[in-house]
Amino acid sequence: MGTMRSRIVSSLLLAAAAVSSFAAQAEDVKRGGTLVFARPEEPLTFNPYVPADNGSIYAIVQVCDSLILADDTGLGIRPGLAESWEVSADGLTYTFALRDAKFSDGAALTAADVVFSLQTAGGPTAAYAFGFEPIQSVEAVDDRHVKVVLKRPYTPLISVLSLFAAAIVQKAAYEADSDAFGQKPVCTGPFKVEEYSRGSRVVLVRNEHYWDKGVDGQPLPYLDRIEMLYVPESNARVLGLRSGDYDVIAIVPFNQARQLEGDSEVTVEARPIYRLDYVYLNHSKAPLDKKEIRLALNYAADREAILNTVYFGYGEIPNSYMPKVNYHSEAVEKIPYDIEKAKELVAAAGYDGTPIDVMFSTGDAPAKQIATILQQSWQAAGLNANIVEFEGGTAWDMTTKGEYQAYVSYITSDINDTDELAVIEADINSGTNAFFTWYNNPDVIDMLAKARQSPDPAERAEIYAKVQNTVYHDGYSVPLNFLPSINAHRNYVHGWRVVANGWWWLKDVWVDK
Amino acid sequence: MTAAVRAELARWPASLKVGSASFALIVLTGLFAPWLTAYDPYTQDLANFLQPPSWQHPFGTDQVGRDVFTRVLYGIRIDLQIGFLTTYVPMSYGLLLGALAGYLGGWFDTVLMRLLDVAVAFPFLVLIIVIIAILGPGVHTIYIAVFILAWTMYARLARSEMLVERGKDYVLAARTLGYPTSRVIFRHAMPNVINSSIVFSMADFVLNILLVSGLSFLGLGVEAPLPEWGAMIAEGRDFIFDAWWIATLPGLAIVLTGVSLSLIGDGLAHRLGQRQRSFL
Repeated sequence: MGTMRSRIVSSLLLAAAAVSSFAAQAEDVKRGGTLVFARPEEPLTFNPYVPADNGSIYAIVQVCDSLILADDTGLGIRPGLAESWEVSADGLTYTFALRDAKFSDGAALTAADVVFSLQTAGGPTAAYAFGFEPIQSVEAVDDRHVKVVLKRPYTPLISVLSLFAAAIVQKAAYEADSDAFGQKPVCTGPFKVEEYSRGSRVVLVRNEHYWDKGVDGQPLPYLDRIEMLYVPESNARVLGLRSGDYDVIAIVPFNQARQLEGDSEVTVEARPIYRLDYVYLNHSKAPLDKKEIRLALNYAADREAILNTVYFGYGEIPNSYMPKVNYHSEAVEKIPYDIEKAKELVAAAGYDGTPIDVMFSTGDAPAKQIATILQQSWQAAGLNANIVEFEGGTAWDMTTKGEYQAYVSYITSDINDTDELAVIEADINSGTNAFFTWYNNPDVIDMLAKARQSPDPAERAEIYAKVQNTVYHDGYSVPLNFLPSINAHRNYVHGWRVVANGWWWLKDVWVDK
Repeated sequence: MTAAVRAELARWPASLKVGSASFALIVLTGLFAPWLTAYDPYTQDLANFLQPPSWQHPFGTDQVGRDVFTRVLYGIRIDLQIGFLTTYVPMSYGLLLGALAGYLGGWFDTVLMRLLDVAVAFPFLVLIIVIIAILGPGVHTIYIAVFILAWTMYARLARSEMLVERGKDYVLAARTLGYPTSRVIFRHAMPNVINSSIVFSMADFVLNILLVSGLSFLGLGVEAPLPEWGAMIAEGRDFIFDAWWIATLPGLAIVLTGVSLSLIGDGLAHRLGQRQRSFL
């Protein structure tokens, strides 16, 4: 049985070379110091197999590495704890050569830790277990090699292994007490958790055993310490940045971004990420069970106006039911704003006046604004729309139970492969009922299964384009915006980068105060 | 103007005159809102959002291009209606129960006072939030929650006043004359028991408007897109740095209403105090 070298590796090396060429020069970099970073969310746990919230995920990736890592842009991947890997000719066996890395407590990384971690990641209680479902077994070949055997070909595997949910943890520490691990994880990432106070802040300090090197040839990270503060009030974050209390703030409100751009001591960045803001529709609830009504909602949505008033021009009007991940097709035709067409569809559906409750979460100002705008245009199309407001936890709970009709919210992708979200959103058997839409199209489910197993990128691209066209034009949801991530930092912060997955790599950030 | 009215007005303290005049103006503005503005409080004009105050839009426009002046005017109707109902409905039965308990005493008094202690022992806002969590947000839920809780203050006031009045000579005289208990309570004692509640109701009216505004601010109050002042402030908060008018002007409307009612309350306390003294 011959083996073939993954073609990804060689393209990775090219990408890495390209990135380092425009990265900072060795003599520029200043080591040490503290970064004060204000975020609107906080981590709920550092246990990588539990959470699905961005507050936790974005913090976990600073502390825990996976076999594969998202690269500097997030569009590609690079070797992480696996230095290299080989794939068998039938595409069913992946063998990973482990890096000579150490955990934050100084103990060496072993194959046993990797086997334990991947088994836990695919275990019955793990939140992202669906991504590991095609894995038959994970075993140690020797102390430095781990073999992953698949049930059937599964092309997205390498991307899935770059998930935060595929993080490698220290077996002994995790097995001893997984709750304590959630507070003080033992991983191989660039930082370790020094202090974790729920509701206020997390302090990360440099992991002196980290394996990766900076541009000066010395081990990363450059920073000694990161104070990650939980500041949900957006005005407070902006004021804190301007006054210099915070070095970096995540999520600048759109209305203040332009104004903040005028501050000469601050840099504002809007980076495209794998994110789609959209209105979830529950296809199991009348009148949304009718395709005509769902399409009418789409035709009656004035996305141009929403882009200008709510998002202040940041973003792009979508032509898809999911974020722009690697197999996104630009060819799918957008549903235009056409109120007459919407009226025709409403009439054709024989609409009986059943009200549609448009839900948003308390405190989500853009969502409230969107609900207000949509309510008016949907009423103009002859639909009976109400606005309802619920506290975030309650709203999410109602969504997962299917006790809602329309919910103004968003979705983000954690990996650079279309498979993750395409399956979660459009396959009713994926465990989330097609991401709480109860959308059920057997043709789409077949196509997705085929795309998962195909090793040919051209074939996968063709299938995903077809899926995108079908699901989008089935009126799956009301897509509103491919929203970028808007963050701001003071000018003395260098190397700040948002990756397409939505988070930021803090390992090569440095400050020159 | 008849001489009697003129004489009564002459006895009004300045605070009562100023407060009544400005409150009357607010009420009239609310009543005639459709004639005072060319806009509709719900119609959006997405091309003209976040416009600063100008001749066309004296209070500017909000985040979806609605005229803030129009929304503040229509907000008078909503906020005053809420304030009126949440104050005078609980006051009516609070007064009745308190006066009966004070006059009759006995087991009725004991049971009522224990009930009252229980209601007062819980923090008011927390109880309201719990009731809203059970019944779902909206104006009607707020009415139910306030109707359940807010009568206690009036019952307590009425009871203590009644305990004082019960021992006074005119009540004893009425009882000695053999008048039925209902007549003694409602015709003789009640006019004197009610004064402190009326004065308190003015302050309560303001507090209730603030309560509903606060609940709307927390997302537990009126449903969007109703132009309720508190909800408008909550929506405008995110734009406070680049469009101050969205939150500030409804806030001023609350302040103006609050000051007017407080002045009336002050003036009434003064005036009713005088009258009470002149009876004795």
